[in-house]
Amino acid sequence: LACRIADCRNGRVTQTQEMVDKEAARREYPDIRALEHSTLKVPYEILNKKFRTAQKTIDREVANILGGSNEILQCSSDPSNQSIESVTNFLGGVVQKLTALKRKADDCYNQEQGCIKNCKLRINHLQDRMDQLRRDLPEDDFAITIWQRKRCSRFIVDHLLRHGYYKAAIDLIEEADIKGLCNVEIFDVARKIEASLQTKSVTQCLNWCIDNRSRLKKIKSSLEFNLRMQEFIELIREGKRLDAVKYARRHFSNIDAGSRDLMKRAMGLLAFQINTKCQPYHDMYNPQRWKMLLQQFREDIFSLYQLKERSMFSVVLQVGLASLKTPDCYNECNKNLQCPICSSSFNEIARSLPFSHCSHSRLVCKISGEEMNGNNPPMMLPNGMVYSEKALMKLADSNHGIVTCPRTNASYLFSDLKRVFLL
Amino acid sequence: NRKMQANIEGKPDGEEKDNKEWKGLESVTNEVEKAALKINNAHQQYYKDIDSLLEYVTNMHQQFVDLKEVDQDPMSNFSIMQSLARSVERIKETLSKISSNHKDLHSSISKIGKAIDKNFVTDDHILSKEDVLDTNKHNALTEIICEHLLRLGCIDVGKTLIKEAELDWDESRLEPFTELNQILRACRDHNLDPAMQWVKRHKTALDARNSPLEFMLHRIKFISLLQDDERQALEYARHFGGCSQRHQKELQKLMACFLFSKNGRLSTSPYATFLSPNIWIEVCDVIVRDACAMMGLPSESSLAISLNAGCLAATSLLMLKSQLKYPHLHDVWSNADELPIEIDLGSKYHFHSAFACPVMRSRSSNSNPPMRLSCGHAISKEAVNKLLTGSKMKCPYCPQETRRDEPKELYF
Repeated sequence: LACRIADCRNGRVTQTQEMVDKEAARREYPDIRALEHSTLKVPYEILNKKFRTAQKTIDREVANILGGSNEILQCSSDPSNQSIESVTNFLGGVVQKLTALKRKADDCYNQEQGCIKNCKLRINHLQDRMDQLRRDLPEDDFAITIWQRKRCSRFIVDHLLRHGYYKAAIDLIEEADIKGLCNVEIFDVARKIEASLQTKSVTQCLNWCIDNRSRLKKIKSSLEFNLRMQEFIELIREGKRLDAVKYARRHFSNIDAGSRDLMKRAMGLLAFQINTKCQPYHDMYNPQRWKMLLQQFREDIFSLYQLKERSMFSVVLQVGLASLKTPDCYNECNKNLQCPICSSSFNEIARSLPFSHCSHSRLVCKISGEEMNGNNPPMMLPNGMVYSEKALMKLADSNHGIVTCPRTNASYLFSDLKRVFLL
Repeated sequence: NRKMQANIEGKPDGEEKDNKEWKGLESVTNEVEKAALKINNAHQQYYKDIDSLLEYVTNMHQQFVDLKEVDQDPMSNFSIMQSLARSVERIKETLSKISSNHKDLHSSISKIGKAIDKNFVTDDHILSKEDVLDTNKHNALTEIICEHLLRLGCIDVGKTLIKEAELDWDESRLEPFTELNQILRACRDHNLDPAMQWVKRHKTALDARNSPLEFMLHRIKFISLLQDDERQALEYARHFGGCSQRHQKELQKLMACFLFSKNGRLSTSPYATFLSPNIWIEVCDVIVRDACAMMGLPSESSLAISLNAGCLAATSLLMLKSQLKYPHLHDVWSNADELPIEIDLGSKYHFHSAFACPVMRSRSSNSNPPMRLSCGHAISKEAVNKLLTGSKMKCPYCPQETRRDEPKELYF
């Protein structure tokens, strides 16, 4: 309060206004609004998928049960059509299939409710943050620190999963107590399919494509076609050209117009040897195509579950480093051990990022690390070095009124120091 | 009506100011609750439907099985055929009801997705297309993550990561953290002994840092003793003698706990925070800070600081972008070597001094350092040169004059 009054006296009323604006900004745009879209969208997409699968299952079972029901219905007006045995068998069949349907649909509903539960779990986690913001807790309140730690761990887990460090991710989830808040299941599915693609097998990936056909069609994915193409190429590579033709006949005959050119080129491959130098056939034989398939699969599965191409870890880290980066970080005599950019491998990594923008002065005392402001004003030694008043008073008190500059070793009387005024 | 009036007049009324508060999470929560209810109801209804149908068809089936024994030509029995037709109709109806009941859930479910998209930011293109964190930096980043894990007491996770990422780390790099991890692990199991021993060994260094660690450890032990045996707690309180001066206020609170020591009344007392599980996490935190400081490492994880700063900064940037102040943020970002706007992270993230000249509104540099005028105000060298008329200049903020040779270069 004293600081604010002093500021007002100095004509710095704007400082208080800034603080009010900051709180209002935090209410209107809390950090979860900016950063947590994926956190909620992914379990929603999983729920959506389970719903669609459930509907398909139910409809399929229902159709199964009702198959043959029309004939039975007809026999009620035309009894000669059916016999008592067929009716009894039909009814018996219905009982069996109903029992199967009961079990399957029950399972579907339970899975959907499980998804909803996971949505609620994540919402509760975010709600904790909203409650903290609403209560206007001080920034260093421990509850806030714990929530922020969990957030850091969530970002790190996401990064680890994306780079295939699966075991470490699982262990970290356990240690950081963030079960259910990370999208482990999707990466698990992805990992298994990627592993199969790396052994040059398209089966698992194809099954996944067929399973998700309608969604993939919506995003205009060419993955299924490319997988079939690769199988076709592999058949030719093994010299089984007749099998390749049969394969093509089965899978390529009803593709859309857009892929027709590709298909024609693929058929042309039948005429060329594996070691041909003729383009584009040389490229088609290139085993690098498997890497491209893997990449395409990754992009598609991320797209389906609304996972962003770039991880939050990556985005937030880059923005963070840029906002901390100052020219002093690359100036040997001005380094600060506590600054992440000065003191760690971030120094190299942040070199190509922009610097932070500075339009308001803020001063940090090199002796105490404290901020120098109205409460703790900056004092200039006769040689131009500046430190905080409190730190200098402490030095003077323990040394008969004499202060020694830690950077130049020059000594002066405390009474010779002059105040510096910033605006 | 009042709101409409205010909108027409273009004035924000008090109510509107409150509405500026973001209610996005509540929106989503509502939709999820609604969907949850609907799914639950549908599930219950489904049970009823299928159970009743199953029972019905089983009966029908049994009827026809029995019929075979009794009647020679049941197919010509009109009423039996009628009931057969009815039963098939009923099967059809119920099954179609089951299917459509489930289908109805679709709209509630998709509303969740829409609420999320509407209220949470989907466009995070605040960065340029090029990724600074490309494959070259990947290993460096993994190493940073490893260091972060070691500091947090997750040495096992760190070891797993080293193996999975095939990092070239030998045991010597992990060694300084092994003891720290043992202490932290013990604390997590609510065992204070390793921590106490460590504190004893490093007492001088910790006192030089004014560390509250010893006090915190004694405090936890004291509270746990208090709940079992008052006398023991009283005896243990002697340990506070060493740090009584620095932690007077806290000590007073602790002693006041004697008032609530019986029958678990502490949990309803004003000092219930002493029982919170957070005290263990807090003490682990202080252990990490002190241990790292003594190892010459920064007291907080670089990765954690950067990520938290990034969250603050990203939120500010996106907010400004949404307010249309900087619609093409990613362009500005990639072309400039400085961020386009100032992001105030708070004093916790100020590790370096930064001087912005109030006259020229630019940052000081080696070639343009800050100068102190004879009145005490600080402006940049360029500003001084600009304001000099002849051999004197007048300070822009007070009437005092400064001679040409007077301004002194400042070193923050």
